[in-house]
Amino acid sequence: MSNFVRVMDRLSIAFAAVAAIMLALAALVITWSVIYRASGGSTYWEIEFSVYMMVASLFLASPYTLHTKGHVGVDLLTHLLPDRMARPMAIGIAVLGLIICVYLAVAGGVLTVESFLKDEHTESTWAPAKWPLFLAMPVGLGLTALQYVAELARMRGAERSRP
Amino acid sequence: MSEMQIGALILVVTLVVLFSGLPIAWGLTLVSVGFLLAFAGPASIVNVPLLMMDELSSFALLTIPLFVLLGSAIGVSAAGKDVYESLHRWLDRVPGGLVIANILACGVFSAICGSSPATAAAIGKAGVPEMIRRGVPPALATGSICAGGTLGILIPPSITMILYGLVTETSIGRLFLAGVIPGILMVVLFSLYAWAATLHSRRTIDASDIRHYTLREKMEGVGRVSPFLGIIFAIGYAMYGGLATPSEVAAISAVLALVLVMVIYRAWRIEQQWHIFRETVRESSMILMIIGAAAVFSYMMSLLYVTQTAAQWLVDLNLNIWVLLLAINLFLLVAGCFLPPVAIIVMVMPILTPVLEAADFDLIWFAVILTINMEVGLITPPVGLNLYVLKGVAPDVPLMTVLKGSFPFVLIMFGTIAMIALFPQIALWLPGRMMG
Repeated sequence: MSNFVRVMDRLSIAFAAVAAIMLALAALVITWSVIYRASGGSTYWEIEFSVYMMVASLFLASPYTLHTKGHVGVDLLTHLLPDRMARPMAIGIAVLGLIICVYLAVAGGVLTVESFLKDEHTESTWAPAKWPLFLAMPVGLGLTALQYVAELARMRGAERSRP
Repeated sequence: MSEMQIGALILVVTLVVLFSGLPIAWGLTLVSVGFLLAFAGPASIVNVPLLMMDELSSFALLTIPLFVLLGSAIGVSAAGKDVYESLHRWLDRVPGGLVIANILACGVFSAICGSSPATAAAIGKAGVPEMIRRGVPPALATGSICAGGTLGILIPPSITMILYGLVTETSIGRLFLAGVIPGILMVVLFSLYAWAATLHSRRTIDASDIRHYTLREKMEGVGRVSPFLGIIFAIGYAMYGGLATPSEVAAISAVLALVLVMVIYRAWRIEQQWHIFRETVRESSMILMIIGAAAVFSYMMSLLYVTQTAAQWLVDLNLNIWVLLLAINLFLLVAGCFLPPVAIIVMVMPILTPVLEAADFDLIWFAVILTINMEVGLITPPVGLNLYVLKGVAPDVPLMTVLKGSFPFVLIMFGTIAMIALFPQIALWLPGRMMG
């Protein structure tokens, strides 16, 4: 297996671990804010912080989800087609997935850059910048696109090693 | 092209794309962007990433990954085995007790976990091999778990209900309460069937192997499981006492469950935590990605005026409410056989909600009807998630046997849908009573 595929697999797991930590942080911060509020304090950054964490977590976990076949699809047509069509179909689907992820990553990138240039902030007391929230989209889906390349390379590798 | 024609075209294209094996989230994005480009021009897709981000950056949505975390913390631990084992010890003298213990265990586990496949996996892992070893027919053994697992999305907390609440803007607390009595009703009906089916096949069950347990043995598992049941009461108290929002309740119960799993099942090693969290981020990423893509899909449908036209068309048909309900049920059943609940709710509910409102259907009551339909889809081919779970816990039992075993339970589910349609109070009494 090529180095690229190995590196991508590792990277996906590493980002899933980051995503896990972010989600855990969100859970802890919300729990803390409820306790803090119940004891008379007032909270202002907790809700937005946990939303930022969740959004980052969902995008950063996406390449790992793809790698472990967690992005649910319904492969009904593949079963209806003759067996020899299954491979070209699988490759076609992966290429299509790759294109969509590239599109979303680029579109998300544009959104992030625009938001950064306009110096957009949320309308709350805390008012954090919006671009870090948006940044999760190009990063996560860009990595998902790379993971698709790795999956395609894997399919090719499997074909070569066939007798 | 008229809106209806565009709508029909969208339906066909969406089905082809979704059935191609392309992940649902990408498929919905592809269809939406494609139709926007074709019918509304390039300017209409500028907002696609912002639509996704706006949909996803909501505090209410945090309920989903956090309840998934709660479920996977408990699912990965041995709590499922303990629930099953202790119920089994208590029911040792009841005919069919083994199967009934399974169904009850599924019911109890559903109350601490909001996912159907997770429930089937947690109870099935311990239950199916044990039942088959004791001579319960494999069809009954696997069918009962398959069906019992579906209770996960009916008995609160339920990921399906949360999603429905978010999409239709109905109270998640009310939805949760509405699932309680129908859930209990289904547990009772499932158990009655299991009892009758066991009487029927009594001879095959090895009676010499049935041992009786002392009270001490019976209490053993209860001690380990009861803290988790405590979480249920904490959830109920916080949510219905108005102390916290669903997202906050989800966060607190997820943290509590993680702590309990660490203390009671000693799952404090980094590999065990990684197991819990990787399952969580994987499932959350999948569900939330679909929700983000569905926001673009409904934007496209609404911009092209398809949602409004389709809803208006359904309203104008002026169907008798029973015919309408039957038609909707048939549609949900068929859709449920092919698509996971999350995809159906986010795609279909924006169209159905105005229709249901025009027909004076209660949206909370309808959530229960929809959920049971989705349950049927989870245990029928070609994409019954629970069937795959069963394949994992009982690899030796052929799929046909599992299907045969699930079939009577599917009939019971149909019966339950009919009862709830005829007597809406089964679903609505509890939320009305507790929340006014």
